[in-house]
Amino acid sequence: MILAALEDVHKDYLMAKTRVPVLKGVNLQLSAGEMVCLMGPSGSGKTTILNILGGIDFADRGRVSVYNQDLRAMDDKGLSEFRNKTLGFIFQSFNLIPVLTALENIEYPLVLQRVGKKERRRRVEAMLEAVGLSAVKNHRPDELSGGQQQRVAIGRALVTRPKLVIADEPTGNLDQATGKAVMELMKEINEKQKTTFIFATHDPMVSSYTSRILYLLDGAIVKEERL
Amino acid sequence: MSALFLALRNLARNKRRTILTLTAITIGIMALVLFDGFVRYTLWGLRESTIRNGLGHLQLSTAEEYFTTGHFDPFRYLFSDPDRIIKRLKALPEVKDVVPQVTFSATLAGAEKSGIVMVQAVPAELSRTLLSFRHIVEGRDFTAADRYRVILARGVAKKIGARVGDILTMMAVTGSGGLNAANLEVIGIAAPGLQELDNIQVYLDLPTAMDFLDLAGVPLLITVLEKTEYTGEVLKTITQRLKPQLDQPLAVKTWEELAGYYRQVQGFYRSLLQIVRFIIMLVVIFTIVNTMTMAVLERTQEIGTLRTLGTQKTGIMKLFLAEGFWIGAFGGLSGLLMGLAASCFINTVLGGIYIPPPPGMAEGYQAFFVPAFATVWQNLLLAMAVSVLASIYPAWKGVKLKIAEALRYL
Repeated sequence: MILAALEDVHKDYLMAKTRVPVLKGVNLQLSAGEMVCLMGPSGSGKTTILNILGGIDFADRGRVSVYNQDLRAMDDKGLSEFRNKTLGFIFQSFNLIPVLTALENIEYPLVLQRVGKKERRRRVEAMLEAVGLSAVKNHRPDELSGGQQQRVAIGRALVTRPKLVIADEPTGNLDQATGKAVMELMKEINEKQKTTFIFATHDPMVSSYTSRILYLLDGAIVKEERL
Repeated sequence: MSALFLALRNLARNKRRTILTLTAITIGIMALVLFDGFVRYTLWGLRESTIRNGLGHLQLSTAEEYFTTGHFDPFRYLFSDPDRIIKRLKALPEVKDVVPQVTFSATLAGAEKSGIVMVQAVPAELSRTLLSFRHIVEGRDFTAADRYRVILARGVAKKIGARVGDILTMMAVTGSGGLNAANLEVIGIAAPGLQELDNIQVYLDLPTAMDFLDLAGVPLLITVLEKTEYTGEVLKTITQRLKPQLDQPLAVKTWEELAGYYRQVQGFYRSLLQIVRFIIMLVVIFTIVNTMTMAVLERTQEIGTLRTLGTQKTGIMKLFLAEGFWIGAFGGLSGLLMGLAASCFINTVLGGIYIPPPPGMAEGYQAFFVPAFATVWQNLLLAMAVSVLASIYPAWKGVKLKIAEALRYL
């Protein structure tokens, strides 16, 4: 089953009155349950593809479909709900809300979904257990290590049971051992829950956990490798 | 995890900035509470001195015209049976006393100088009720036995160079149309408190005035109430119950209608209060806009994250408006408490603050700060409303951020 697709997607950025093409006719299909990796040098368009798939940036041309939804046709409210219910996001610098504890950070997307408090707490506690953070659930991000923060971010991305998790350089700020542990965790979730992951990374260790690698260069997919 | 909850946590992030913002609002609201308390006390003082300097709470005459031109011809407006009205009025529990009064203009001549004066004549035994704010600064007050003696306002005494013990000559038109003159002994110099009375007022006892003017009755009955707040109630009783039972026309004026000067001062102080309030609120607005703009700037990436997680634009708006609300609420409440504490300190420990004579007053006074309950709360609500309104623009800047750009912001 095709979960997400980009068809002939073009995207330019305006830089000092000059249009710089970032994506030049990208075609991409993601199947449900797979782990895909985008690799390429900085500026090759990896993050732009993730942003477009996540509905936080828009293609200038081409068709973008995620979970049978045409993202370009949705308004801001619809897109916000879509991101909240269908997608999970993991960032290189974790992007946790600093004033919330680990538990509250994971809980936040469920609050937006208006899940009842009892059910919310049950799911958050289960997620804390799954990412191994029950002991530090009441700690704020600045009281956690980088690895623990990324685990909170993974918990936050997965607690809503999304169809697709978008991870931009998820190990970029972690040492090798912690990065590996984080990838192990995501692989385990992928296998158990069949959650689809797409990564953007420079790190070969990350790509070693995926089933398909797409190589980008100057805004185009130049090579595909199945593992 | 409401916007209010998140906003409260966010306030504690940059403590120094939050404290500075709260301090600015606290000082602003404290100043407003104090100024409001000062204005309220000053207006109360002016009101009571106006009422208790001879105006009374309610004035009764036989015709409306008396209140405009009656001082020049009081003889046309005499009550046929004033004792009956006085008795009926005094039976009301809100009424402290009813003072018959004659007011007329006259010429008063001293040894070297003379001048036009306004004569107020009331029974000696009732003068303290009606003129309780008049202060005898030299000599003495009237006794019931005094006849053809006069008390001068300080300004009048100064103008004609009179002192206690001097004999002055008063000339005025009598009830029969002739000109009468009489010698009067100065027994006292008084400070009425109000500048407009200080330069023109002299006081006689009522029997002397009636004899001097050849009057058979009085044209004016002044009602002094136990409390100024009873004015409306007693006015209603007089017009609805007393007036229809009289066989003579009755015109009634309240102190508010008669005290034009008080109304002007009240309007002036109220305008001043609004201007001060406006200036303080402008400072509050600029402080909040600055604080919230900084907060939006600092949290750009966080706004991007919240939006990515599914927070709608309205959610971001609510978050910053909630911060404005808390800043206004905490700043306003602490300003209110500080203002009340400062008022208490000034009133009890310092015993008030000496204020030099304001415009229209003959003397300075010890000012106390008595903020009104209603305006204190109004100031708190104002601080909260202004803080929320001032947060709209910065919040809107946060709402307008493009998510992808916000996430890249460092």
